[in-house]
Amino acid sequence: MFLPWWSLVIVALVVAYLFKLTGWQGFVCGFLGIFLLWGGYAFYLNQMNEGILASRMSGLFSMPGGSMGIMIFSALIGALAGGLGGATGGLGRQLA
Amino acid sequence: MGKAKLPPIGKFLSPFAGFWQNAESETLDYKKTLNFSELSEPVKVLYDDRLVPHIFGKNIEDAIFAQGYVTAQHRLWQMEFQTHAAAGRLSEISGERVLGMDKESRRRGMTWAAERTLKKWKQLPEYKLVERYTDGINAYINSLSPEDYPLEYKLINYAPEAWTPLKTVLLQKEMSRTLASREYDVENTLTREWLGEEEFNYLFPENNPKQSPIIPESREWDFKPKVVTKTNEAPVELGQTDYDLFEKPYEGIGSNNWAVSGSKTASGYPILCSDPHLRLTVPSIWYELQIITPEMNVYGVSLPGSPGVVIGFNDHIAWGMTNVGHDVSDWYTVDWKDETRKEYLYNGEYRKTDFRVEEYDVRGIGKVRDTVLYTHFGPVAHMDDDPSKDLALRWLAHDLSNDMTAFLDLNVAKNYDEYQAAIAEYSCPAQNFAFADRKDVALWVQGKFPLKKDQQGRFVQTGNSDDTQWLGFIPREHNPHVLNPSRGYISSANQHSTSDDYPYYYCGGFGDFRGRRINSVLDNSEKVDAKDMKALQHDSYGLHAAESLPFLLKHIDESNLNEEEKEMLAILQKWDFDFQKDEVAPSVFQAWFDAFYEQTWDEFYAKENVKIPEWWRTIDLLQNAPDNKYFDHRKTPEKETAKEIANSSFKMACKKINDWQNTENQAAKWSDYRNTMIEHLARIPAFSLKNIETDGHRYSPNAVSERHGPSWRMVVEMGDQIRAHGVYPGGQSGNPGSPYFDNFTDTWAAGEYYDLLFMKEADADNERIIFSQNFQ
Repeated sequence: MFLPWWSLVIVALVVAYLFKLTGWQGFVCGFLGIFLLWGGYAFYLNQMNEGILASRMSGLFSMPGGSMGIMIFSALIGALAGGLGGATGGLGRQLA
Repeated sequence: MGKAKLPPIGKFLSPFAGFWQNAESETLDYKKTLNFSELSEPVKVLYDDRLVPHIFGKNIEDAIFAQGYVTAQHRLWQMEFQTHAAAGRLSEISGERVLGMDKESRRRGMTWAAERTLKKWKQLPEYKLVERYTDGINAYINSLSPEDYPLEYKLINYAPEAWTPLKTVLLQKEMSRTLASREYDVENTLTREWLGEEEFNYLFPENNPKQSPIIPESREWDFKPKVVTKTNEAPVELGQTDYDLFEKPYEGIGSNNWAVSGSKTASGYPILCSDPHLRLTVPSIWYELQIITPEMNVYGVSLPGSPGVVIGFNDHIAWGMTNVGHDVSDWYTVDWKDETRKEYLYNGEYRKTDFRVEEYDVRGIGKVRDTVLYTHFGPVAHMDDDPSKDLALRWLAHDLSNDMTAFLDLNVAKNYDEYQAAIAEYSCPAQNFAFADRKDVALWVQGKFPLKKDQQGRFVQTGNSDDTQWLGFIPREHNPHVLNPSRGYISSANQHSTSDDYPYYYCGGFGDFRGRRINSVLDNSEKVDAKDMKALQHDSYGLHAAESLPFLLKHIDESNLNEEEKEMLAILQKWDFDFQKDEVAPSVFQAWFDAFYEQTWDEFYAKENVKIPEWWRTIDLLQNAPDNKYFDHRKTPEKETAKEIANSSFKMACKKINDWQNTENQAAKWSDYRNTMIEHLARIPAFSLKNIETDGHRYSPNAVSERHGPSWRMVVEMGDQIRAHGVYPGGQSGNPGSPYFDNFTDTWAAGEYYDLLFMKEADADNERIIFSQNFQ
């Protein structure tokens, strides 16, 4: 990984801008896109690791739901960032 | 760590950059080939199914480079964290709340001592191995991108720092702090002031007649000792009691080792056993590995941060260590010229004090300064508001010493002479080095021991002249040692090094029960094999219980007990003194003994900074002087004897156990009641291993307590083929996201062992090898 983690926000922003999405469409695309990307990758890593780390981390954050819980939470955080980026790009496009 | 700040949440939760990247699978996915310009020849690393690396190098320097790399690969965070603790730099990572710990480390002179020692190491030919080890670690660090950082770096949000040889020295000083800093000078002085000399000597005799010393009494000293004619000064009057003293190392830290001679084993070859007792942490203080070069083939455990193998065996010998309890830390008063403390009186003249400014880069606050004052013989580690109450520390770990080559030389030693030569220069922390090869067994109590007058070092002394300083050191050939004793075994468990016919004075803290138990079992054993040795390492028989419980029970007035108490009494009466994990009797006994002890010494608990008589002495009084005045509880108008205290403390114990059982809603089984936890090094609860179910008591050979215990257990059967067995709690990987983080723990808790894979060649097809890596 050469890019910082928040580059996904920029990507969502640029995509929404280029595809002439509205703010709302930008939000949904950004949100769903990152939710699936982060959730999918986390799911894969978790499977390979047999859930060891995720269950420890959910204990660390006192988060319910075990490894599934923290997986969804991770995906959500990324999704929110992606959604905001997409919304910004879309809104920016509308204004431009 | 629990209340520390959260890391930046987006980065931390990202599966591309955050903690998810630390999720590892059981099949290793390391790079198969790694290129290093530092290597002169290729090195092959074979990982077995326990993630133990077997390093095959063509020369020692390349092999040690690889040791550095591989150790960092698995334990980088631990290495840096531990050395930051030693250097008083934890506040850079964890902020103001650990600044007090950092100040204590620097006031104790840890970094000062490490810097001095490093200068000495640089003059030794083996220093280049420390440099190669450093290179290996840094090669690993330089290969990391932020998403590769160990989990704790991400969680606490900082980056790894380059390794330096100073850090290896600091690690060694940290071991000295853990093992060689125990003293009770202030406590002994205050207690003697309070009780008077006669009472003090009565309660704190230096010799426990029941002791079974490390060097058997049959040993006759065959040297002409240096004669000490000087007598000790009159005791210093301290007056005040409110000293804010350094935290003492835990009482239960110690270890066992023994080696049984061929005359007593079934195979006819010696068997050597070693189990060091330390604070149990994850990652473990130990890292297992094997290093093979054309000149050397050694297997054992290493300290992450230091090259070589520390406890282990090679194809000729086996060795292990236990801690020596000799007091090598002495406190001195300082005669300041005035309140500026710029000069102090010594041998009739004023000398200039060294002012060393320690700078702390405290996370969240910024730079903080603290000045530590140094006399020529040590730091003024205890600085009071009233300068007349300052105390300076003379500590062996401050001396220029070569403690680095001992282990590297043991790794290649082939016989008793080479073992002796290897440890000859070793000074601190002093260790009882057990040795076995295919025909001999031996033990050396090895360290640099101060030459002292009688009683010197037990109390605080005046620091204004040569008269009270150490007179020199005991010549190392006069250190207690024995080769092939007639009793057929050598053994040590931190008890007294010698009986009182040893011609040199020493004082210190010495265990008692474990040594006696181990020696008694070995005395009565014939034709022992590995199974017997494992059983002895796991022996949970409490000699302190066997010696006190019958006397306590005798005093019980059954007519005065309620139903619950009668039940508990019955459990105790049937008990065999074994501290087994599922038994309730050990819990009831221990609660009773602890209450009895506190009730007996209630007047001591009420005072600050006094020494309390030891368990063995308490049991001695219980057995032989039950009417002794100390059993009288000061808060009651009646005059108690052991009988009344035994009864009242029994009731207190029953209540305590009942309350515990009601709160926890389960029976007070010993393992649950003792509540052993293997804590993560940064005390992160989610990474700690809680409620470990296992037998053992701090004073049984299987010395498990709440946070301490056998950190490594090793049994080595010498013979044509050396067969070794070992286990430690935790795992080879320091990554909480790895299946190898704690996979050994259940085996260890059950008292079981792994057969150690002692390879002869780089056979990648061996069924136990799961991954093979080429360094070139």
